[in-house]
Amino acid sequence: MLQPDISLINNTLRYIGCSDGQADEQMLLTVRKALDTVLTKADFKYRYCKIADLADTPTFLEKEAYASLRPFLNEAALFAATLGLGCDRAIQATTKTDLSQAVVINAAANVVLEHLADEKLNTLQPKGVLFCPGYSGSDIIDNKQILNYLDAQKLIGIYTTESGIMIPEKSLCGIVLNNYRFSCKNCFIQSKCDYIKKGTTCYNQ
Amino acid sequence: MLQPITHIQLFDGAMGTMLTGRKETEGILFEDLNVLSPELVQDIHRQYLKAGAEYLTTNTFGANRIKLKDSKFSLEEVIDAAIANARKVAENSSTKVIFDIGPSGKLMEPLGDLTFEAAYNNIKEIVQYTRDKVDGYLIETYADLLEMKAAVLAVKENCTLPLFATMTFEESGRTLTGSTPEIVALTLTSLQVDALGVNCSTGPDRMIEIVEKMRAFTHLPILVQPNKGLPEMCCGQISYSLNDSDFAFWTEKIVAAGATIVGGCCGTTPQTIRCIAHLKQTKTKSYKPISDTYICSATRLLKLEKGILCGERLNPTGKKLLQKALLENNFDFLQQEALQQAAAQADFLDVNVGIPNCDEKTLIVEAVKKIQEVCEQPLQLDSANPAAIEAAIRIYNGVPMINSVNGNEESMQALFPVIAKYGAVSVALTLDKNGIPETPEGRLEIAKKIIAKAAEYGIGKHLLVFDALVMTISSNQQHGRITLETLAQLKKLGVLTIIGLSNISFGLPQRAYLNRTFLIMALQSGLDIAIMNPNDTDSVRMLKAFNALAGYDDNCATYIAASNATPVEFPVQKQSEQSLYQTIVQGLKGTTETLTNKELEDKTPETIINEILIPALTEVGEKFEKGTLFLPQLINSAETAKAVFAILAKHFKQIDTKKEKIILATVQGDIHDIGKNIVKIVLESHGFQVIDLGKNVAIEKVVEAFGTHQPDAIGLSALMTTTVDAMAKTIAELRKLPNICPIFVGGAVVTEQIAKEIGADLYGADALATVNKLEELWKK
Repeated sequence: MLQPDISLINNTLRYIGCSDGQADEQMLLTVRKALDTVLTKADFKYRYCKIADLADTPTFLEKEAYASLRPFLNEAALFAATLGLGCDRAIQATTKTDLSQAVVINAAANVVLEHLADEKLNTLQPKGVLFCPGYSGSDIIDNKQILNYLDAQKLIGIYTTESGIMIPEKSLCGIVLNNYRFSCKNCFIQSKCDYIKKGTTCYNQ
Repeated sequence: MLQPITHIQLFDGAMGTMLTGRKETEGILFEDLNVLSPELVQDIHRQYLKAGAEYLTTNTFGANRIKLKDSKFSLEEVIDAAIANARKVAENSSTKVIFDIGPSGKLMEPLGDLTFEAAYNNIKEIVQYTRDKVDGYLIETYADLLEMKAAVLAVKENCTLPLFATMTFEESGRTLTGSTPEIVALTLTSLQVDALGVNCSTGPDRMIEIVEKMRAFTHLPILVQPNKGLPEMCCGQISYSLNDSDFAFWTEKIVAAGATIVGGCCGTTPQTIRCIAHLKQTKTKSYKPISDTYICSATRLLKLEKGILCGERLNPTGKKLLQKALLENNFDFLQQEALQQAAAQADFLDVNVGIPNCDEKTLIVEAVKKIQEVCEQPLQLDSANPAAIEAAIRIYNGVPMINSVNGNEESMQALFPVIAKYGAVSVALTLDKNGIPETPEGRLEIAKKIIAKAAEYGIGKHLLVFDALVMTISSNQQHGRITLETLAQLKKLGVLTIIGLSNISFGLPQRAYLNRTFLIMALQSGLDIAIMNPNDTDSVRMLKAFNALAGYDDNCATYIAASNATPVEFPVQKQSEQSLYQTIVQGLKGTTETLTNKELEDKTPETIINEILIPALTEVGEKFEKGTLFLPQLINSAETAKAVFAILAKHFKQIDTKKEKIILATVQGDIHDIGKNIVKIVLESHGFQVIDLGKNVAIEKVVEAFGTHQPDAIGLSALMTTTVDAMAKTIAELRKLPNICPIFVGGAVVTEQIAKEIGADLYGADALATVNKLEELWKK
């Protein structure tokens, strides 16, 4: 089982806005406790399929927002992963009794999901970065197509709402792209992006 | 009704995986093939019939109003064609045509956005349309027990045809939403389906254990339709790991484990079914209904036996804060109370919302939904109103206890049909229209009458838990003795017993001593279940100690676990070292009461607010903005300040009306609410009154709330780009109202520019910025 190592702790601290070295002992304890909760509740599952192996090409990729991806699609794959409903439930219940802890558990769950997804992506071919619907002006409603192609509801339990929100909340899906470079160009939250304010980016911290 | 099964019966195998991988089906919905390629669908049915299937399942897995959105045909056209295809093949044979009902593809509330009513109506429509055309229904591949319950009720309330209900389990041995095979079997048996079981899931080898667990909790036929092994994705296609003879090998073992009807799910073919057709020669065993008493939530099963503790804190009698929370629909309070009792080792929780002038039926439904959202403990639905009990039992996820029926004919006639229909366990009060008998013998006679009447409705005495009735010894010192003797007499009937413990000491001082002593006396006399305050740690420990001492606790396991469950305190500085100011800045929530009361000894509430609370919050705000204090700490400080406000409000009535009233909501379609909750606590810490409408709030509900509460501002939150549109629509509707208040917006995807574009008055980049902007707005 994954352990709450220094990398997970630091990334969780980063998610709650606490840079390296700023956390006091109490905050570190809170983060460790949150990671313990997440690692106990998480039931990581994933699905993966090369786009070339699909019966047809997903139509959402024809949208303008995905134009920059097209040169990379021959080597691309669809990917989805989730921590399951246990983490959602833990966050929901903790919110009622200790909102502060719930916020840290929420951050820790994001970190653990990304960590496990990255770890899994590194073992698959093609390797690459994960471009998720919602990035660069694309629409998160496209999650639905990705999840349908991967039969993700049936096989790993990721549902979507009418508005394309994934349930369990701690789920992700997207397109794995080899050699693709991200850009902030079309990102709609540029004006409030904390990374840009600090002179960095979310994909290159 | 399903005819008695004497030999193993055979369902067909997969339809979907038989249709995939064919050129003629590429890009076409499987359900549409009923109309477009009837010969193909009929051919598959025919192959299954020839293979020996006694039940043919229609090709309608996704044929429901919620799921069938991309079809070229109407729902009715698809259904008619599907039934006609199966009927044509089955004609002139004894083979039954079973209408296949798959899940809606939506997740139920509270985790998802599908309501119980929508799930119910989705299936009701199908059943009403098809009930004269098919021989039964198969509800299959459901992953959520509550969606299954809605579907079962929709079938059973709209026809009398046989109903098969199967769920799918993950490798963990639970359904996606956490139900065990035991819980599924108990719930579906209680709902009186004709057969229950498991389908899809993993391979047949993994289903043996699931069937064994189900069999321990049901006497009904068990239907098992496994996949042909584990699904594997290869070249864009899902394939399955077993061959037909392996499948047959494992299916034989499934039958030995207790299955009575078998078939196949994904990856199986007519050849697979042919390989298990010989099982039809196997005689089935008969099984007796379970005689132990269980209740459950979707994720927790509880055997009712000696030493069980029912938490009494969710009953508004004598609890002013709970009464206020119910009047204000403040379900957060109920959720917190439930979680606190769960943490204090309550095995299940009483839920009573009976306050004067309320719509109890609506209120108890909402309370049960909200408590089940966060708390795993099974519930006791407690009301004197049978309509409220039925409304709550209907949407309850699992098998509840209800409180209560009594020996009054009217009570039994009203509640026994409900208990029989939903299969609940019920508290039975040993009183009748003449009141509470003064003697144990009188109470015993009523118990016998209730048992006899229940039997007429098919309700076994194991589903009744008898309340020996406790009345205070302050009015009559024989009351305790009468209750104890009644308990002893009731045990001779072989039934479970229960009492509301704390009634014994009503009107007397030092009640805890009387309650604790009476608890032990009652347990010794035959008490099984105590309704009591689980926060009284000593009583809980004495209960566990009794069980250990009296030989009811194997290896003293429960006693040891309870003793080890002492909550770990977070390290905080001693109160004596802290000032109230520091306490707020450091967010030490647990230490506010003593310190605030100490300050009140020589300061007015106004002085405390102006000289301690506001400066402390200002320091917290400055540190947060400088990046030296972080979101969790900001929240802790806000919660601490809120607690101080609540104490001061008791001394200074004007505080309640001093600050403005604000409505908060996460907009329709958005189920994320952590950001909105942070804004709420920070607003409250600054003394604002907040009315929280929750998440996924319909536009009309926000509009209605404006009319009801006449707030000074409305705050809307959205986390996803797709729900910003709902935010814009909500604002547009609010703008149509006369004298609409300022509207502010926030959330991860909302920017200053978006806020302007959608017509908001203010944009809050974070919780603190929101407070600052509102303070500024009203300062002007």
